[in-house]
Amino acid sequence: MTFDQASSLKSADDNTASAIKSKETTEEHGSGVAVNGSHVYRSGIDREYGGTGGSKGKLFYLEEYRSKMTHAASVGQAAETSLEHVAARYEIQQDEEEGPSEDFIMIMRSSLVKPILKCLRDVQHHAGTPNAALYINEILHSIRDLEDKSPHDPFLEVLSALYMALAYENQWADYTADQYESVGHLLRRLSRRPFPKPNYIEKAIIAMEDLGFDTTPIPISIEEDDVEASVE
Amino acid sequence: MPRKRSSPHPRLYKTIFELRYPPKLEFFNVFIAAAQALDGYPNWEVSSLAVSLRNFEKRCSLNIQHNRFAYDQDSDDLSVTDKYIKEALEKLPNAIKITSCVRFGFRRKYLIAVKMSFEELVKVLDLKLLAQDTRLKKILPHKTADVAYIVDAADEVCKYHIRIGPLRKVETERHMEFSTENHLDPSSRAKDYSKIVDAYPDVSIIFDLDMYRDGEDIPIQEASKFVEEAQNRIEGMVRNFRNYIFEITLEDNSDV
Repeated sequence: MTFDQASSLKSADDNTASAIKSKETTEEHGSGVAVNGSHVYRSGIDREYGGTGGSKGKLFYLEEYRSKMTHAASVGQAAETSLEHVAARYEIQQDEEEGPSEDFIMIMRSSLVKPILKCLRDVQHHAGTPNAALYINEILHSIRDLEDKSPHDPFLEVLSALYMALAYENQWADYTADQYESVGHLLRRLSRRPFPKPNYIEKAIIAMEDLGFDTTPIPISIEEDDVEASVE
Repeated sequence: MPRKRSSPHPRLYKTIFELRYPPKLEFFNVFIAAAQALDGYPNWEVSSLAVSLRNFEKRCSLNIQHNRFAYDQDSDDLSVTDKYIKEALEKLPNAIKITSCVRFGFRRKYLIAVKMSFEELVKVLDLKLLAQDTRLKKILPHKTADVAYIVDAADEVCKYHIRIGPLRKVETERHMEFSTENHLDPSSRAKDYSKIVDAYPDVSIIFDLDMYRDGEDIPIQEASKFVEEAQNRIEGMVRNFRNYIFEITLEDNSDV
């Protein structure tokens, strides 16, 4: 942090009340994440994630899904889901040599997942009505926010499954209050673990499916390279 | 079960108390005598404009000038702070013949060492302390490399200058403003200072809180009460900022 000597206590003559931050930037350029071509979203079997504890690399890519998605929740979020905007963010993200710290993951998650849990509770009173869209929109926005601010959080994989289950073709309108309550409990339990094991993530998504949430509403496309690599 | 987490502890590094009074020419005749009235400062330096009293062991000093005196301490020993400020307030006003002042100021600097990278800490402080409005974010380039939270605030009596921000180790030395001349023995100054700088955390949050009261004719008797209040207020603010920034709870109690 760099800013001027703002306090008046250092010397009698140094009584400048204003304090203007000047930047001392250390640019860091990562390798970036390729965003061309189609990407694979598959909870629990994503090769970048599987077996690593979820601390390295991007876990999943939502662009393809979003490009196929209808307007989620119908509450004017088209601008926020702009594909160009999302792609630009991915391009500057980088694989860090060390994974995210536990404190970072949990502080960011605490701030950004809390609204999701609250909305999942509030939406129960409006399930099956158009008013539910307000809460669903907030949930989707919060998931994107977490994805933007803490992109290496393994919990995102579960949230992205929820994102798909809610957003694709407005499936959110079909879920009941009991389903929202159950998925809220599920997310709350899992979110307390900073780095849940990959099989926990997978189980959570399966549990979400068992609750009736359709987390893979469109067919999965796997690139040839990915298939070859998996064979090797 | 997930283990319970505790927030990192803020460590006090620096305390400054300053009292300003209207300058008068006759003060120059009483500076030395005033300085002699104070115990606990084995070392001193005198110029034509000021007296500096120093205690290298306790890393504190008192500087007396024609329009102010200021106590400066580079340690976290609160008993030393209490003792030396109390002594200064008891003896100096009489010795330099002042009954009122124009400003009290009490400032402290804390560091909270964190277990995360600087880049992560920037993201945390950005999220916790700065506006997250989508329109604002779209104005800025996507990557935020550094942040600072700087606020001038006031209540009915006092004013506050608050600075919070992330620090890398290489930046910490500049921001802590350790008074090497007044607080380190010249015979081992370079070596001692090197140890101090080496001990700064790799990544930390600095809390630089300055509480002050200014006015035309503030009774000098109110200084002691101000110091006590300022210590409590600043400690409370740092604790609350710490709790807010490092809060890890997923329970929503907003409507309970």
